[in-house]
Amino acid sequence: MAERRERFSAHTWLKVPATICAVWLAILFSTAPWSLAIANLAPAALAHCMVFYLSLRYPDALRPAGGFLVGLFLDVLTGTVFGLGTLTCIAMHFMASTQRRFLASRGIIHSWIGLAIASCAIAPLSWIIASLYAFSFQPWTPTLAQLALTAAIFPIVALITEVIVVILSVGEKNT
Amino acid sequence: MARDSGLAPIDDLVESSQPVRTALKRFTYVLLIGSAVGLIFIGKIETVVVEKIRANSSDITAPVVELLSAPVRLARAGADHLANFANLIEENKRLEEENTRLLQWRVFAKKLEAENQELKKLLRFDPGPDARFISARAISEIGGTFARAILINVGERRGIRTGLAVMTGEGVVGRVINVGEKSARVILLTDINSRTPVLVGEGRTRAILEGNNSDNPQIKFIDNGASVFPGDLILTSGHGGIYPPGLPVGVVAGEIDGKTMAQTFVDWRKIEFVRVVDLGEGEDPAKAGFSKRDG
Repeated sequence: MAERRERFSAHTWLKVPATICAVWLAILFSTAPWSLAIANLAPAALAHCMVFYLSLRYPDALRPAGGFLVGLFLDVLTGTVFGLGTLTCIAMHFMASTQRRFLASRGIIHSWIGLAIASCAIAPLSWIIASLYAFSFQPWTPTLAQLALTAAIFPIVALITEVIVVILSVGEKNT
Repeated sequence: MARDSGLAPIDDLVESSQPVRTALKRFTYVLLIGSAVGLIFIGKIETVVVEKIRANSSDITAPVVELLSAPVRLARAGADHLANFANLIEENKRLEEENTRLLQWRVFAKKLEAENQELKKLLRFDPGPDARFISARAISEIGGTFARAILINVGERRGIRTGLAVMTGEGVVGRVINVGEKSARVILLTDINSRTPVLVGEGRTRAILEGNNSDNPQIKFIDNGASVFPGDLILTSGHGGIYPPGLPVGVVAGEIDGKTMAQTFVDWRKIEFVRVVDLGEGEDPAKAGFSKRDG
């Protein structure tokens, strides 16, 4: 029992920072000048997808505090409302955790639907906070574009995340 | 039997601790969501601290982003080369025509420049300090859902300061809002928080160019309801002391849903190299002349 606990403990201490660093690097990569109209939306969309997928499938690799750190990194890196990225990432993590029992054992399509539902809940929240922050109504089109992009890129991000998990050998899949 | 081996009490303990663990987990989320809301308030109240954190983090992440974006830049350059190669004959013809037209304009510009110099001498006109240009590379797009910004690879070490105007060869990109040692953040003209005093058309009508997070900012508060027409040139006015006067911004694109929109000269998809315009410490851009001196 002690041996099992020790092995788990060492494993945890390695996989948590490794996963967070991998997500950070992926977010940094997404800020590269892609010459696309939606490039400014990519970091947040990627962060949301990765947090959702990891929270759903590999909860030990990205715990709530990990989701918080990913969001904080997003806030520090981008020019959006400070704290909003943190809030949306932790909300994404929470929603994935509440759906875990139902979605984790099912296929990617179910996860995709789960992410779309979670994004639909988070999009108006972020719009309201951004509008309150600026004391003016923010345009809703970027919020919708963000929502669409997050949903659209989820399968490919899930695949990339799976590859990262395999490379880092951090995953104990939650099924 | 299981109880005899001593494992059952642990199982019982684990089972009985499940509600505690769930409660702890929920408390963790509540704590973290509360902290995130706290960060939003801190971001609103302590803007200087937050900007300092962002500037310092940009210095750390800039080299990593530059390294990570190298393959993207390479792929983009390759795609551009291929596209150019396909249109080589057409492009050559277009450039020849443009060159002929520009040569005619050059003669006209030389004549006007000489005339301008003479008139300035007659009026003893003081053009103000010369602008200094600092070249930089746009290394990443760091906007977000509600912001449009880029990160450039020069900072305090190269004399960059908050508020300096940033241009490409075509026109104004935006202004520096945050400076680190080796990097700086530039808010784009198209950002929703961007307001740029401009002059429109030959009548030099005053107006405000307002970003809306799209590629085409809106022209608002047109002076005395004056008329502006599609194709009218838009230049910075220098009012408000943010941009030097006379920097090219774009042209009037036309009206969409009753809103006058601008077409900027800058192609927002192809910002690679930029120039930061420095008029010197403490200079009022509105009073400064915009004569060119590369540095």
